[in-house]
Amino acid sequence: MPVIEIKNLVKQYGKIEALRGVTLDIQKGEIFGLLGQNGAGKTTMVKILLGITKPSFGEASLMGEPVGTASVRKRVGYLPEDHRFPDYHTGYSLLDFYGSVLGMPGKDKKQRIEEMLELVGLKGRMHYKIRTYSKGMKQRLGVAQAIFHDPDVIFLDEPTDGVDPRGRREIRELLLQLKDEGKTIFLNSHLLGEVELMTDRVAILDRGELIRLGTTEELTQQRGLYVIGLAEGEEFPRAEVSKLGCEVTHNDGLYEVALKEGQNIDTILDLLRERGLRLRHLTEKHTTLEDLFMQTVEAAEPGVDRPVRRRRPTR
Amino acid sequence: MKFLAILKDSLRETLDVKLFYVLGALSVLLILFVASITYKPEPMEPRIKSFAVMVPLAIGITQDLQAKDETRGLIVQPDVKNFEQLDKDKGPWEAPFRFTLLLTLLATRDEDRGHPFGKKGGGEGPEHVETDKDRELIAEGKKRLTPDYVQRMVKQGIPFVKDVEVKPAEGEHDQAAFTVTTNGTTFKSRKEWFHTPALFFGALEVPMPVPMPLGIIIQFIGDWIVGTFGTAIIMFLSVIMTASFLPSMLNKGTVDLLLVKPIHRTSLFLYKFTGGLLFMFLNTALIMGGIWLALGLQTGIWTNSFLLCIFIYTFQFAVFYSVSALAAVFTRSPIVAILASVALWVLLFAVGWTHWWFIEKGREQKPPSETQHWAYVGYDAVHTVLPHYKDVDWLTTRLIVEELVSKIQADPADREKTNKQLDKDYGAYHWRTSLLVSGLFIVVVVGLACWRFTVRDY
Repeated sequence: MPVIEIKNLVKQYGKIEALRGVTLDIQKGEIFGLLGQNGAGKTTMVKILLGITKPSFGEASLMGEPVGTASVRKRVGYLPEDHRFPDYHTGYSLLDFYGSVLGMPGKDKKQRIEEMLELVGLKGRMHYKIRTYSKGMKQRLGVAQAIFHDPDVIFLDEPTDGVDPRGRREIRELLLQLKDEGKTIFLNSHLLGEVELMTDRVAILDRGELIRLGTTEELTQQRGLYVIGLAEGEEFPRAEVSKLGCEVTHNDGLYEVALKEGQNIDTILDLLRERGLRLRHLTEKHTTLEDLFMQTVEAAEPGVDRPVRRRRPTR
Repeated sequence: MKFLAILKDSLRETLDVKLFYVLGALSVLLILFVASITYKPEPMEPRIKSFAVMVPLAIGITQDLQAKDETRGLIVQPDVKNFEQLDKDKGPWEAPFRFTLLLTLLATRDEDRGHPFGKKGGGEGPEHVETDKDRELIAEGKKRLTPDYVQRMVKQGIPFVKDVEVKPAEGEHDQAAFTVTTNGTTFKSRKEWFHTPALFFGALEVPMPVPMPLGIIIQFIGDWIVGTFGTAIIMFLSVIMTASFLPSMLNKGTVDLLLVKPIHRTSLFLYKFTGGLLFMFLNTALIMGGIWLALGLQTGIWTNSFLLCIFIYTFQFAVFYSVSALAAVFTRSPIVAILASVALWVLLFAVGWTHWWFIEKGREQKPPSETQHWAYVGYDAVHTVLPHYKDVDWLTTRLIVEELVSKIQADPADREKTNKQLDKDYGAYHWRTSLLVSGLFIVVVVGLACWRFTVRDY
């Protein structure tokens, strides 16, 4: 049974449709990345799943229960994008407060708070007021508060925003560790490189519509584009391959072959064998998630506060 | 558990606001100020002297003598000498005392009318030359001023003296002198006795046109310094301080973190609202408790209604805080929340005062005309539906006065007189109506704010 289940979810703010019939399932133990431009509806979707915002139409459930119930919220952790912790708290007192609201027993809470703050590298500053923390420290505190009550599903909106490279790596490792423990992680991030490194599946949301969904591997794969290398001194039969309807480009001793629609790489490999050529390199070409994202949303209108930059398509 | 956590959070937020310390300092200063007021008992001698002037000694004698000679009369001028408090350890209101009552007799004639004391009395009339007839009249008067007679007159003229004993004493030829000994006064305690207050532990005496009983001074302090100015300042500062509680919780990025916790939005809102009230309650408890203690220790008058005021003032604050909360939920702005509360305060103050002054007092003075009648009905309606903030204020004043009256006025007739005056002033206002209407207002406004918070998308 999926941990997160969304069926035909619609959210309207007056005449604006923030979500337009999104349907999605996320399985237990998955790290799921949701991508989209600003204003694409990512945060709205997360807020609906957390019960902070109500959907206009459609259904959403978490762990088999309708979203927003107290029992569901108890098993959910959340780090919002522009979080503002009350700055009259210290790191310790904030977790203590949230722990009490979550109904954690006193002894467990105290122990857990210290463990968590140590895990995110804030133990030495845990009794300092939050207003004295740097942005990165606040972010690490945010991650700590999202996971310290041991939730089953964790929603993280830009978890590494403002965090230095070392901190980002630590957070990444922490999330992978949580995944290994069976937690489901729902990730919103603009740092596509990070998403690519962590996520099992990715969805791209554009103006409220889900336009791509799949494993990171599937989405970044460039179907029909192969890189071929031959033994030293051997000439690639470029003209013959082109006659088969493929596009061939030479790049740094390797040849990129773009197959025509419906064609299989075996046709090219058979040709090379017939000519007695020795194959030394063969890979199916992948794109980066960032490139995929840019290609996907290229045709879309600019987001609310970030224009789409046109980039040269990767071949 | 969750409730306590949110209260603790509100307390933490409060302690983080610098204004809280200002308010705390102001509260402590107010308590210290009240504690520094000392109350010096008025000595008995000037009291006796001022009352002795009014002893109606001459009335009966003059009437008798005038029956004999209509052209002549006799004036008796009392004076008090050799006053002595017999027990120095006791207060003036309880100690026995002795004094010489010196009655100077002065014969008057028709030509002296308008200047009965002539030059002898320090006036500017013609020189008073005592004739034989005058001397006869004076001797006759002295004969009639017997100790028994004087004792009766003293009891009438100085009604608070107890067990008066009058003995003849030596005086001039035109004087009747008596030694008056009393066994204290009818004042039952210090609080009934006249006192002069002084600020800062006696350093600055407060000039008073007439010395007042201690209970009346306490009533003034309780009603005006504490009840009116003190609470107005505290209420105002509390409104400012608590106005940011809900907006800061509703900040984008803060509210999300609370809304994902397993706590119902209604509970969250009500707990946070209660946190604001708790702030006011604690602050009022500190001030009213402190003042109750300070006044009680200083004067021995334990005005318990001051303690009841803690709840009353918190209730009044809830009226303003509910509007502040409603404004906060709709706008998330502390400034708007403050402005809304202050606007309501001004409105309720104005409606309360004008209703009391123009309507209640107006009706008392003369029956309203037809136009006035409908204007009054309209104003009554406005007054009725709005929270009865000012009415509660007056009812609180009445509560304090009634308690003090019961503690300081020994005479039931005096108490009844005061209570009648209180009835006249505030009889149109009742606790039940005032609390019910104001309470309903709070419920409706908080309910509306709560509903908005519950249904809103954040």
